Amino acid sequence: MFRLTLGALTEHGASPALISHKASLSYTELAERAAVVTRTLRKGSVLPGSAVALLSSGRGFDEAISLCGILAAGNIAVPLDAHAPPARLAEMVRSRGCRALIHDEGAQNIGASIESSIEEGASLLRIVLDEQGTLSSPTVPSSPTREITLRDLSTACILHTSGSTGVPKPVPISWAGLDAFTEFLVSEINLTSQDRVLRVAELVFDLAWFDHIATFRVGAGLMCLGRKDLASGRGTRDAILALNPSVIYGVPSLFIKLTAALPPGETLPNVRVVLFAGEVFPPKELAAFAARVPNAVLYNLYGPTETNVCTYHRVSREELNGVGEIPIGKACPYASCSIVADDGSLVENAGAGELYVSGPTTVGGGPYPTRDRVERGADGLYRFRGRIDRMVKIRGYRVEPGEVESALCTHANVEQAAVIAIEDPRLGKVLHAYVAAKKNGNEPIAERALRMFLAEKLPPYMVPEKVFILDDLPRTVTGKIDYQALGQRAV
Amino acid sequence: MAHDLSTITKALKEHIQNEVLLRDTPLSTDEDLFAAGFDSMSLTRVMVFVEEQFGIQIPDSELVIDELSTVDKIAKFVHGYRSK
Repeated sequence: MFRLTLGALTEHGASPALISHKASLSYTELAERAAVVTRTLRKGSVLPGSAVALLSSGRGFDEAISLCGILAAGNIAVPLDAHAPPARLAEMVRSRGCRALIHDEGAQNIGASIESSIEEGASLLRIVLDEQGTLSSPTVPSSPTREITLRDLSTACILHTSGSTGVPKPVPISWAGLDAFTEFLVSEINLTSQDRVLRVAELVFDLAWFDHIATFRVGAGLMCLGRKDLASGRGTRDAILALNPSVIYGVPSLFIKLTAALPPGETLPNVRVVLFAGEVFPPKELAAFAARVPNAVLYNLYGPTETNVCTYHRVSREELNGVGEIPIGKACPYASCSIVADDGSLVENAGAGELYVSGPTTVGGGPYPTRDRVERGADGLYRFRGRIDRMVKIRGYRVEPGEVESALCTHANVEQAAVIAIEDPRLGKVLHAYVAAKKNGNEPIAERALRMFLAEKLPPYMVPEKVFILDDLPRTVTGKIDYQALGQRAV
Repeated sequence: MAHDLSTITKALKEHIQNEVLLRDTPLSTDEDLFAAGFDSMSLTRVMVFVEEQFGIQIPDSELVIDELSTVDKIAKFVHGYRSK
């Protein structure tokens, strides 16, 4: 089974491991700098198997180096979203029992804020790297530490997704799952040490784990770009022209923006594989993008964080007529997928229902109910039919409207809240919140004050674009909140 | 309606501080917005605001991030664009 170790990195020697606009680092250098992180963790008595939080505000080389250092030390990586409010991050660090926090120099304030919120008695080792991934503090430990056996440590990382009860939901990702997933994709797209992978997704997102683990597994180059460099379609285009990547794994909205930023007729002929996931790629936009990457093989990958990628579809150029729906495809070889119909019976052949997934990439092995409705056609391919519950995707991030509602209800003047997703022509899917104010003589609440209140508790993609304050929320005949009426109101 | 540079700067600063970054500490017009938490969605929001307020359409292919990283730079960009 593949597991990321310093030895595995060193094997790729002088090949470029990390590449940015400014610099490049070989696998030998990556392993050396990661070893410093590993030794610092050991010297700080952070035992293998314990969780270590990771935060990079600038997404320099420090991010991949910290990650390699944590994983090689046999620790569990807990990536933190640099844009989320410190209070939320501190809560994750506490709840996961993190023994150390590694961050870059740009995140000093957030790091200090997280450290100060850790209870007395519980220790949190803070390790700071500069953007080249060399240690700023504490001082470099002198002597190498004893190698330990890592084979019993099964968890590689813990990712967080939105939880309907109001608390971020931890999802452990196992080495067995990462091994099965990367082994399959490496072989499917024939990823080799000659490839250059443009890393676009955030580490809190499962997409980025392909970028890091599959790339380092085969000794390919990983292109690390700051958020700023990828903040516009133009920036992504410039990065592709400058760095010449061969493989990109991103969400459809990134590729749609990229297409819009390309001058008429300009193509990106050196991109050979494009993987997309996280949301539906509208057929018209997909066809327009595909024309700009004439030599690329395109894959639609599907799977919630709890199962990782469990179905895949290699899109043929003939399918790109701008109208036809792109299937999510067939089950990955390691995943067992089944459809349960509304009456609870197993759908044997063609039919629709909820998708259940089992296998090494699935939390606890499965079966995991995805809450996604899918349909299997006569061709054996799965097609996505929407959510069974209220969960929505905002820019590829999962959002449970219930979590936003819970956060709104913690405000002293809020009686009840309802959050729905609306399609905005420019911004894509956005959240709107409807709030019933408490009638207890408190001063009236303003929309902006509520949004700022939420911004201190939730990551930016979970803060509603608009908040409407009402006397009461619309009700169905049974007295429940009428979400349909709210949706129609918004149109 | 004509907008001079200072009007544009003021409108952008208020919008970005209050509606996009959602912070209560004042934003200075030469502060790096990306260091302050800007992402691609923030920039899109600002461009939608610019289009609504100042009646100009800016294609994605012209959005060079380094020229848009502070309120001052965005204001100059918008002002220059209007005079084209």
